[in-house]
Amino acid sequence: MTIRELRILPPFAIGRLGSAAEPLDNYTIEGDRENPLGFRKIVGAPTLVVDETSGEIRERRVSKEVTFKQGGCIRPVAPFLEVFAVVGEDHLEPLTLDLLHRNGLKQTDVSWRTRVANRKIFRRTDDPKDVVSATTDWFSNHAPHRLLGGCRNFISDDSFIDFGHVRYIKPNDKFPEIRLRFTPAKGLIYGPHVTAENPPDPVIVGSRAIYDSSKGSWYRFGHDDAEDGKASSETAPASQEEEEGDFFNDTLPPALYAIKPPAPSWLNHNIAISRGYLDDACDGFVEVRLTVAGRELKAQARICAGPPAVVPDSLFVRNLADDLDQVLLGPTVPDDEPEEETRARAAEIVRRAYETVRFMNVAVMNGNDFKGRSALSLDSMPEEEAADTQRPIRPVMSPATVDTRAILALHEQVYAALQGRAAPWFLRLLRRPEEVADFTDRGRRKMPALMCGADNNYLALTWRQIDTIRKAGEEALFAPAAIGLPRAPPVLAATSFPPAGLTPRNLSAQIHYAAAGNPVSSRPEAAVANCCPGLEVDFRAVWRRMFKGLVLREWDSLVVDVEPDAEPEIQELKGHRMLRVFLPDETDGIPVFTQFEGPASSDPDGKIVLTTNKNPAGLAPLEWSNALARVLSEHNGRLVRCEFTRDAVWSLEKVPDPLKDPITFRFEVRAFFDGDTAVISPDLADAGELTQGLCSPWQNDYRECSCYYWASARPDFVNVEPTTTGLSKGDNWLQKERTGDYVPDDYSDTRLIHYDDLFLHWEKLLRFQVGGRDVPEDGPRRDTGEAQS
Amino acid sequence: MSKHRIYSGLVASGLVAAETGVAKIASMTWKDHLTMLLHIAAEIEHSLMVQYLYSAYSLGGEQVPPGWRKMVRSWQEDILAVAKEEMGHLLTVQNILMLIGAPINLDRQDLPWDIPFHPGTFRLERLTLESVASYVFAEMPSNAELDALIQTTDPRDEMLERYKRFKDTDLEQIEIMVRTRDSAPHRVGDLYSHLVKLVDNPHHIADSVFQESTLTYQATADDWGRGYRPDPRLVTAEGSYPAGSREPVASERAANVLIYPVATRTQVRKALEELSAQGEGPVGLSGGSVQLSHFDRFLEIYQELKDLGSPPWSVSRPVVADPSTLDSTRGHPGYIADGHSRDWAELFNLRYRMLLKYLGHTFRLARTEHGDSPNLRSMVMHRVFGEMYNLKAIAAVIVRQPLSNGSLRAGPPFEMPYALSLSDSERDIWASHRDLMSMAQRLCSKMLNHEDRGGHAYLQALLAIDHDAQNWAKDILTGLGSLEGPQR
Repeated sequence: MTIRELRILPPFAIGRLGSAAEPLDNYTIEGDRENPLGFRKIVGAPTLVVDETSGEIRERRVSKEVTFKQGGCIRPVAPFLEVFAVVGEDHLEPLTLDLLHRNGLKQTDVSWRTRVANRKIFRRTDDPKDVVSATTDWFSNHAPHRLLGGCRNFISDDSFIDFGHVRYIKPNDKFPEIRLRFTPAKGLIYGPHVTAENPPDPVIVGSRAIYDSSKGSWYRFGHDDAEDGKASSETAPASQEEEEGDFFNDTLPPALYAIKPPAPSWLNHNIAISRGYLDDACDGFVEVRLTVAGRELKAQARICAGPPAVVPDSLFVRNLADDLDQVLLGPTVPDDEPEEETRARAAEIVRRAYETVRFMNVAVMNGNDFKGRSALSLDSMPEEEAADTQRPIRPVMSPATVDTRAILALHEQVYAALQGRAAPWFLRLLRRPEEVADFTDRGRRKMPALMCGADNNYLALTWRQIDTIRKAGEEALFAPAAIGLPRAPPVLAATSFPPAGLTPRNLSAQIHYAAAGNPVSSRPEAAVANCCPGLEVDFRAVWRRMFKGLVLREWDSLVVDVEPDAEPEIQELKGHRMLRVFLPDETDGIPVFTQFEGPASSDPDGKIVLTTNKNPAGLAPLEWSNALARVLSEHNGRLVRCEFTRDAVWSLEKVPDPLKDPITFRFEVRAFFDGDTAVISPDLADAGELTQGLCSPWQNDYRECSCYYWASARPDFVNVEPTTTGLSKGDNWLQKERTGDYVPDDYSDTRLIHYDDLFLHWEKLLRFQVGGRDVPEDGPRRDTGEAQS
Repeated sequence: MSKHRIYSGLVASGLVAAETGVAKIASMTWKDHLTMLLHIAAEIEHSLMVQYLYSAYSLGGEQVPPGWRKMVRSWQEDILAVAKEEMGHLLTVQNILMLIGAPINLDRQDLPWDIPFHPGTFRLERLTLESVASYVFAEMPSNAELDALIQTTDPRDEMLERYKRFKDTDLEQIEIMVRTRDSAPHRVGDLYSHLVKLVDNPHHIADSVFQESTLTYQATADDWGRGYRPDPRLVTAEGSYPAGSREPVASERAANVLIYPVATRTQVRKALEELSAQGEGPVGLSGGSVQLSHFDRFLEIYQELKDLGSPPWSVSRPVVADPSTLDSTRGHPGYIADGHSRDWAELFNLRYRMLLKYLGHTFRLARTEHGDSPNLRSMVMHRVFGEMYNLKAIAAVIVRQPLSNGSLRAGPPFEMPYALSLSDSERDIWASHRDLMSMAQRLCSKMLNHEDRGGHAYLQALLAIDHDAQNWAKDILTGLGSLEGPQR
């Protein structure tokens, strides 16, 4: 059994921040047979307990009750990454002491290396000296290796952000597998060094006041252009042309960082002056190395550290796994996929839809006025839409019809009908990805409703999810008579070890691989990553270098850079906007833009293109993940023709007629995965680039996000109950005191948790939800269960 | 005196015919007469909807060869689209009844062959050439309209050939088939012609009959349409349509559910004409949009089915005609003798009853619960949709269950409840909702004790939903106070 190649699984592991000493126990979530529509049950799964001293696994235990906090601190999610060996023709085998021995090797022949970064500040300032990065040398011992993030704009070389640590788990007879554990940071906030000009900041204790404001521009970033909060032209690179000089490469949403009060910026004249905060989230790579028979073998995996999953028993309707599946398997479901498999997946999509609805105050999110307050003063998608298009706010659904429990019940009814083998009938009611900027009532009422997608427009499912519903619908009609209905498999249960189907070529099995000891929240299924901007990572960032030679902005098709070795004519494309991608032999291009459309006020059956002075063509970028689904699935590594605006147009204000006289070039579509592995290619995103578009610090996002749909991470409506009026009542998750009387979002309302509350006490204030209700602060009684040998 | 007897009398006296004007009996006012006609219209729309649903649910099955499945699927989509549109018609007729201050009517006769204007014998049957023929007949335009249709249809439109073929060969055959089944079949259009004539006559129906203040309470497409509307049409900045732009189209042959709130005589007339046009109207004439009429859809199915000839497989499951759960129908070929299948059928009937009860309740609540805040009427409306989903799910199970020992399958019986009227007090209505949920739970629990022949997962989910809904109803009852206390 010669080791031919190595793999690290899972190829993408999500760590979650927390300062409790003990990482979160392993758990799975399973459907409840007694209550099929109820919350999924959190079930303790084998937890690997690492001995702090020796670095080996001391025991495997199963908790009867999973607790998410200890002593008021959140337990971090510290995922294990296992090494697998490719042996034989098509076989993946866990790399163990025995396999090493059989290849004449020992555990110390295995070396590890890690590199992670936090580029959030760099993403705003464009100053390479603002990149915070940490690397380890190759190591083969079993001590924790701290990930100390240094930055040239810190006050000294000894100043760093602690990104946590990695540890090569010492294999032993009972646990002989070769694995590494990534333990993320505590969730601390770092900031500017105190000087005569920079007074002490109560959020930033002395040891974390490490950003040197005399070297970098992050502290008070945005102060010299108070009008729109953008960086000053002085900070723009001197080599850029005049128009480009005025350009600021903003994120979407803009100004996602802690600012000096009053916040948020959009309610306060768009003044966004940075408080100079950095967080200890990061992303990067773990590498393993082993020399076998004189041949050096290497493998790598991605890791990231993000906020906790505070609703561990619910999943978002579209999660990172859906997007990765689409990349891997394409936008359509093959006809020969077994019907039961398609149907179970379709039901799971509906289930996740209602798990998402459960945590939304649907009336408020619909754009209804609330307790006499204008909907325009409350964050919601209709409010965002009104602001973006400069049109009056309009509720999405008929205002009288929106109530959380009623809408939830309707979704549950759909789920139940699918269990009865009814053909899904709602395909045409699903929003297609090209319809996300259709703001007519017909467009806005499509499903999923009231939520925001990666492009800041209304959320659409992936093409593959939509096609799953299609196929399930088409096949149910021809189901045989009176057959027993197989139960949908328990979702996200621990897999067998090693799982069936895990082969070097089965990248899907690798992506979904559940490593021993890793809770569900470490997996892509629990990640709200392809949103605006995402949470654990900003998945939009992977598309920036999809076309070899170009660097696009993560949220639209503006060419913000070109790669140094690109042809001269490509070098000229900086500032142009990509419009369409033409697949070989196809005359209709795949648009990466659409136009905002809305109701014609003079014609109930009419619609108009919604334009503003800032966007005279009404252009709406489409999220890459869906827009490029076909390009990627069919033309990976091949040349495609891309169409651009003839001129550089740094601002949409300068694009009155985008399709007029476009220019085209051919580009190679980059491979999404690294070689024949399931690791997102480093050519697409380097360490730190998958998180660079996120909030700094991430706590800001919990206060500012106006999407309110992250069922697994950022609920809106909790402790929801029926009332004698037939309508629902409950609390705002960010409400300080639980009264059962929902407090609408208002940045100045002292009844709600404010920015500084979160910066200082986020672990205490962010309350986990189990069964739709606050987990008591002390948590359920903890039972460590019985140790398993 | 029942409306059926009244109308039978009018027909017998020769006072009523499709081509003539309107007539009434002396002891009724013209408003009475209009109300009666609208009630008949509602029952016809209701009956057609149910028959079409039954036909659509019967389609499919594993015997359909893969190469023909796309066609069979498209037929089902077309028939379901028609059924949804009939639902819109039913609601619009209720709106008109509200406008004239008349009671709504959600009733339907199980055996309404004596109702004048009824297209034919009410028959729940699987899709066959004969059944489609009767649907074509019910929805077809008059001869004059058909000629006009052939004259005006764009030669590039594939429907033109279908119309010509219909006129040249199909019509005669269809009439033979239909008259074999029914001695006096009618076109639905006849009734609407009468209604339009009557509404148009200010001497019969005075302006004062139309109570525009009821508009607030009426059903709207916003509430009930669920997106089954055509795409809006692009308008230029000047407020006109760009040259060459397409008419609004209900995309991909989807339903266009017309639910018209009405405030004036003109609007009533327009609504009736639109409903009629959607049924029998030619392409291009319905609502000013390019939209397939019910006639178009059924004609396509008829001709495609006919072109299939006699394949060795059936397009539909072997679902029995006119299924029944009633003991009194033992011996009748439609009696569902298999106990397990009959349980499913009774569950279907119960959910159908719940649907109709909720639907009636929404109209009652509309008078007290309206406005722009979430309210109980809307919550009850959601229950109506929930029950529609239940009917769909249960029907999908039933058509795969045995009728008895033979090869025939059972079907959703759509048996009408003994009464549809609501109690006078709000509290009693909610108590009735609660009791029906309770009964449904008992039935589900009983069925779960049987062998799982497909459907237990659904029943378990339904139990959970009903449990929540029952608690919801109980909370509302608590809010309404005790029997002696103030009632809403």
